[in-house]
Amino acid sequence: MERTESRNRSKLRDFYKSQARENAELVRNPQFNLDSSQFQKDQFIDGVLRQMPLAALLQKEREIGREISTLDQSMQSLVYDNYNKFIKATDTIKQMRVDFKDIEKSMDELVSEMSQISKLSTSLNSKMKPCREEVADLVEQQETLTKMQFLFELPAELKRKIEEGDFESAVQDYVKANSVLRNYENHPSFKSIQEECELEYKSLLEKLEEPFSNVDSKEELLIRCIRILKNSDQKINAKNNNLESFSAQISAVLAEICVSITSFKNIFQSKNLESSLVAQHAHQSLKGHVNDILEELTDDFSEILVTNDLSDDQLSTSLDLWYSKLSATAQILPELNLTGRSEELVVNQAKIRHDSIKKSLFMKLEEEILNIEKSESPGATNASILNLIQESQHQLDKFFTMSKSYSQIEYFLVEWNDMTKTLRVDAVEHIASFCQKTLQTAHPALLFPLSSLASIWSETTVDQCIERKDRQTVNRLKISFSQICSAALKELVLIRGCHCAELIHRSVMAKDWLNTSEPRGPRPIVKTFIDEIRKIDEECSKFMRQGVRPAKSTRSGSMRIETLSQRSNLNIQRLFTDKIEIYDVVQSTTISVTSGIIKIALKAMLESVRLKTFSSYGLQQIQVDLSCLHHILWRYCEDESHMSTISDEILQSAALRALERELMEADVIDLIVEKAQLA
Amino acid sequence: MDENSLIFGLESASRELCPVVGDADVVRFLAVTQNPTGGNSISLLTFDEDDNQVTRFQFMTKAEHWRVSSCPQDVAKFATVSQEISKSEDGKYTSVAKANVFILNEDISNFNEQSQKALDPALQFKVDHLANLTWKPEESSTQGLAMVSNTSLFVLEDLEQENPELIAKTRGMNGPVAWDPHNPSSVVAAAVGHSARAYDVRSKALAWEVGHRFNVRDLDFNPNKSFQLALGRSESPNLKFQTLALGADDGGVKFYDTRKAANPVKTIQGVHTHWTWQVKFNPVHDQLFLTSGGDGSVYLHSITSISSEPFGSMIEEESTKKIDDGVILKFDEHEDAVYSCQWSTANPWLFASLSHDGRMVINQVPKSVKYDILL
Repeated sequence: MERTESRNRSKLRDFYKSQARENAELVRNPQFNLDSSQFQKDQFIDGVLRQMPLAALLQKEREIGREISTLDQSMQSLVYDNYNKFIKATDTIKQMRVDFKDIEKSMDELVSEMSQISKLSTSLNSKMKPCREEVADLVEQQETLTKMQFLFELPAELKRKIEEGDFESAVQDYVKANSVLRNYENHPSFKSIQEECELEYKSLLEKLEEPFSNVDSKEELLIRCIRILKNSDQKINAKNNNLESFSAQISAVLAEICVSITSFKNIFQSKNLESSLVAQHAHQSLKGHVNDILEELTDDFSEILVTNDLSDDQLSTSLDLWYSKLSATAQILPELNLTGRSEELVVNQAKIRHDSIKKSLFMKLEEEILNIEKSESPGATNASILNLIQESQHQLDKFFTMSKSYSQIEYFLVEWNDMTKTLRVDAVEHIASFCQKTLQTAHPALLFPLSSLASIWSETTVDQCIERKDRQTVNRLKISFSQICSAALKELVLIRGCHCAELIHRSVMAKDWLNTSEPRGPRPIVKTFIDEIRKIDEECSKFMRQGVRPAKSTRSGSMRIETLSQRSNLNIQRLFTDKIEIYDVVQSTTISVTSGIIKIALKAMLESVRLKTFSSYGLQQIQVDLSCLHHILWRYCEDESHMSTISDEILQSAALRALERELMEADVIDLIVEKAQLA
Repeated sequence: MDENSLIFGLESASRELCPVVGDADVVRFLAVTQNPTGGNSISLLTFDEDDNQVTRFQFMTKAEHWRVSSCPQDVAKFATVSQEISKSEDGKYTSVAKANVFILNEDISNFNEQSQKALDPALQFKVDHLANLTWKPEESSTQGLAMVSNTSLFVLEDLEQENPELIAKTRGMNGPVAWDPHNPSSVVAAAVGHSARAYDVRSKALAWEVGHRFNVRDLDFNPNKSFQLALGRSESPNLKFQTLALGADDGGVKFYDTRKAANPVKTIQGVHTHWTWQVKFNPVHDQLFLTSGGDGSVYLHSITSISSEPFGSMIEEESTKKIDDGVILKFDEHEDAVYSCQWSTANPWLFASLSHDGRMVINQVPKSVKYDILL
């Protein structure tokens, strides 16, 4: 055992070793391996010749020869084997080709036959078409005939049913036929049928009413009769979206109901049966049915009101008609639940109408405000706005007149009063909020008229427009309008002022103040600025009051700065003068607007002067410019002293930035100002 | 107004003030004066918080200086815009604008006394109509400058560079310039007329633009929140009835998110009654915001709603009191237009303002506000 085991083991070892060695050799030089793909025959032969002894060489030669012959043989057998298969394959393909030709032929045939079939089917179809139509026609005719038959047999049928006591189906049949018969009323034959039917129907009604007169009739029977009556009423009232015919129908229906109710009452009253249990029960059910009918009618009515586009007149008359009929019914049968839904309907309609009137008024108002720029004056716009509000009020009033039946509803009265009262206030409030909104995005040209409109409103129109009773609202609105006014003015002054400021700032920054010649007149910017102020003043005076112009004093228009103060003095001076707010509150007067703009522009000049350096001529030029400005602009300033304070500060700042502080003589300046002929 | 406010006077007209950014411990400011006839100085103002007093060291210079900016990376460096006027023989004046870089050769703490000394710029660059300059922000790797003239924007990458490089040419620049602290050394914004434009320094392309109806007078980035920019305006565009209750109306500030430049995220209106000349976010607590205006007033605003601090507390039990948006305090110690107001970088509760007449006021955030923010 042991021996065999060890032998096996050695065999295994040998096997793996030799394998490993071979592999190693193969890896080391693959070109010497016959089976390798990198085999190099010349190198191999060289190597073999060099390494092997003759015997081994011969051995190797034999070995290789043997290998070659076996390889040859196996290759040949392989080729033969596969050749056979190949030939078979070609044969098969050939055979297939032949077979396919046949199939192709039959396919072609198939196609042609198919097309023929489709042709045939289409021709058949076309031939069958008239037949089909005919058949359809016939079927239709048959249907009509059946209907006709039903109609012709109807009187008899009705009679039979009435006799049998089958009232429900009789009424159903009648209702079914009735609409058709009405359509063909003008045909004599149909007419006769209709007449017959009517006759039968009348007898049916009589039959139905019979139990009422009969004291002993049972309650069930009565209730049944009422139900049938109700049915007949309802069905006639087919839905119709046309208001006119609808209202006619409604009145008819309501009248009929009234008649039924009265007859019902009469029956019971005459028989003195009111107290009996049966009568009460019957009464109850009658009420229930009438109520059902009315509710359904209300639904229809409101639907029609919604779907139809009605004018105010139409709406109010139809509502009026509706309500008067209803109240008539209500009088006959007082227990009816009329106050609920129908009144709500009226009030809702009124509300919708009110809202739409308000909305269109608001839109018109907005348009008017936006067009204020083009209108002749804010007064005209004001008038047209008032007109618009008045018009809307009229529209509302027209809707609500005391003669209308619905105006007697208490609930409605309360609601309506609220609505009409608030319309004016709402409109005014809307104007205020819209003005505010436009302010923020408005074109500068819109600001003047807008501000003046707001001021007119705050002063007079609010009072005119709203009843004085409501002091609180009036005051609130007045305040909000005056706020709008001042905001618009502030914005206006800011925009125009900044425009002027930009002009002046640029002109100062662009000039070379170090190398100017001796000043002989103001720079062109002075004239531009003065023109601008004049233009604004002119525009302004179109829209607002002048305001208090400063009185001309002996010093007015002249600016005398002969000495320049020291820095320390300057600060002390500042302590004694009031601080000037540049972006200040603007009043609704021309002078307030212009002085606001002048302040902004001059302050900008101050800022720009502080950034430049001046020669003595430059400083004098500033002096001349300021004097010229002062000479003209004092009359556009609320407080002349403000202007002189700022001008003073400009000159002091320029002097601080000057290389030589030599000012011009006062009389020379006067001369130059006179020569400039600015006025 | 406050018990902490301190008033200090410079003798000449002055327009610009800046904190010494690199100094983290001592409150120092630099101020420049303009006097065309000479006698100009750059003042290093050291504020002693214990004694509540200011010592001024003057660096005497020949030229007048319009703007000053201190280097965030180096306490000893600062840059100015100077203007020199000379008269030629034929009586013609010429004015030359230059960018100057000064370097102190001693430690800055040696200048803590009331004294003066002549100082010459270490570097000078001649730029026509130079209006303003600003150092690159603290985060950037090099010490460079952005310069704005009235037509062009230049950038000096570092101090070794020979000449500033032109980034963009556009008319209507009026001075305000700021680096985007969130894209250090790559995006610089400048006011151009009615709008603010930002340029990418690397590609020299327009990065974004925000605009409105009025001239932009100053711009500042929120240092703690990306994409936020405040524009000071010469005038406020819209009147709102809500603000009418304040009585005053104008000189507003708008806050923009630069990614959505179409509409401002917040607008302050009706505060200043003339142009808003400077706007500054507090570098640490960006719910505090400072504006100064041509009307001679300085306002401390609360802008909690757009600050980087989370609105409301993270822990619900600690429902801290947040300050509502609006003006916290108005400071009206100035008589003249206040062209500059600056937060101290050493003490975030302290700020200085400088009016044209040379009056400098150092103020502190009121204690109650401070506690509201901190607690």
